[in-house]
Amino acid sequence: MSQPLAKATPTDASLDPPPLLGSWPRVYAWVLISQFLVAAALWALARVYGAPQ
Amino acid sequence: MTPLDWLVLLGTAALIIGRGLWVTRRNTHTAEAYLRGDTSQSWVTVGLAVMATQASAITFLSVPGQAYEDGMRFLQVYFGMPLAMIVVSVFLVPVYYRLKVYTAYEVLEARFGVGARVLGASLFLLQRGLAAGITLYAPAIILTALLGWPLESTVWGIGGAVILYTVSGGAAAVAQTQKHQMVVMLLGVAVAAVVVVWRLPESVGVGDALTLAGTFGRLDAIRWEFNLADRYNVWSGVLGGFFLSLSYFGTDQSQVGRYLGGRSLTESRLGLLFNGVVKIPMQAAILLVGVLVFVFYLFEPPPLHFNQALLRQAEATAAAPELAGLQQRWQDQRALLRHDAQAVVAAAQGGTLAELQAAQRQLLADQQLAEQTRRTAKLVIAKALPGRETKDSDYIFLSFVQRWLPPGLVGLLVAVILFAAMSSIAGELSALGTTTTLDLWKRLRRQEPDQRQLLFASRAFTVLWGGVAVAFASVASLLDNLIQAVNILGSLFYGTVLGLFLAAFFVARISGKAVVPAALTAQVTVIALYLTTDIGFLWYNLIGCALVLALALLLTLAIEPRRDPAA
Repeated sequence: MSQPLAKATPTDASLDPPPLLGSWPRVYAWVLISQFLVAAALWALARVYGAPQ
Repeated sequence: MTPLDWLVLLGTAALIIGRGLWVTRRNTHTAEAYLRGDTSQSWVTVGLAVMATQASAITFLSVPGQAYEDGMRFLQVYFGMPLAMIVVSVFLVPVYYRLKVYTAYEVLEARFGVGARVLGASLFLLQRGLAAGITLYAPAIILTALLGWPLESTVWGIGGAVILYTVSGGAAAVAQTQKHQMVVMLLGVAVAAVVVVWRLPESVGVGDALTLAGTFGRLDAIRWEFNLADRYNVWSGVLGGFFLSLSYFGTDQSQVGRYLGGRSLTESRLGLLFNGVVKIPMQAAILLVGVLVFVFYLFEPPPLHFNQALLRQAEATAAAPELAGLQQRWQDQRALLRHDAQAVVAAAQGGTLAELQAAQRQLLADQQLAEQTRRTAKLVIAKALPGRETKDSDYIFLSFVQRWLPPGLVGLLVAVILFAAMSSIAGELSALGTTTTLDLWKRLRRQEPDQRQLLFASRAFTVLWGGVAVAFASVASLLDNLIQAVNILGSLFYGTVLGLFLAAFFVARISGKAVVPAALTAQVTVIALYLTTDIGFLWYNLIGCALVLALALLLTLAIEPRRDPAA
């Protein structure tokens, strides 16, 4: 009953991202970088307006 | 609510639902179009529909209340989500497209056989069926208490409208309405943020408000301490949140159904990644609104208890004199807090660092006394009205909206809450109907149904699940904090379902005979752990998933030992 799953072919044209975004790895990298920037901004906000020691 | 509020609320609802039904009126002649939508949606529609399915009314009621009481650390729950979106986009979505599936659970059959598919679908139906009831009940109970709407009618009104357009227009109508509902929700958050800043005293700028919030540690969104029992820290958020998101977005049909309506694989992926980028900032904005409401209430005394209806009931009992004394003490303490807060602002604007720190310490000390009064009031209410839920954090935001927003905007914010409820319930009902039809009814019957039978069954099962949700909402009682209740419920089942999918996608050695008993054992173990330990709920996503993989692998090795090629 166990069967391997069909694999997506990376060369399939429908897999390409819009030209403006470059390649998929670049898109993924920017997703992660943007979230690190958001986390850093929130961390900085808490540091600047932090509680008294 | 004023007539203007009603006009805004009903006008927006009628426009969005009417438009959704109109543009999708030709999409429901075949079962395929009904179940999967017209598969012509752009990434914007996919992205907003995915976001709207996840953002329930609970998001807009509980999250600001949570920030008011506990600050922004709840945000960490979402820290694993962007990475999960990438993993889903890279590994899962292409396979769903290649196999041309309607539901995620079809993949389990392709890999392991029908048993795994039925198990995966059943676990989804069990937890999502219950969650749909909570999704409907949560806003209804709060709208009832604050606006005086009757509970039964509110539950039936929201549930009935959702059932109507989900059954009439199918998956395409769900996505179309969700898109516009999400736009209204984002607009509502922005409006609430502007109003709360505008309502601050003239002498208090945004920087001063943040200084006041920071005094109480309300801006701390990141906690580094590792503690298994702590619900929200960066480790549980990144690891547990990753597995929760991976399971939710990768295997939960209410989400899979949304992005399979995309025009192409690229549009579906971009819709998911859009959520990976926008979700954390959006949640941060909602939490920040809650924090600003907290700051606002340093200057305008908040009620002793935010569930005013409950407080009035308690005041009608023998506890009245005690509550009157607490009210008086509360008023005095809040006047003191207002004075302290003004001193902090004055020190922040023109004092020395030592003066600022001294003012902040005084504010903290007086706040603790006021909090003590609030806690005592809750105890008195609990004693006066045994069995009633005295936790009032879910009432904070709507109570602020009702009291402090101008006419028209109250209607807009109530619309935000109703749309949030409707959009997530619609996604859930659509998925529940589709999964029941395809993974159970169609798969397990002997004769292949024709298109007409399939379409009828899909609609009938959607109505049935809508009825279950409405019935559950009508009898549910308030649980701990609403958003946590839904998340905990999800986390108890998601780990097991994710384990099934990860085994299907990544572990070729695991056999179909081993995976079903392994998943059942893992599910029972997770529930036993939940009942007997105090492990933070996010960890169950990881534990359940790891148990399925480990047990399935061991069982496979036991029943199908690797054959020696030389033999």
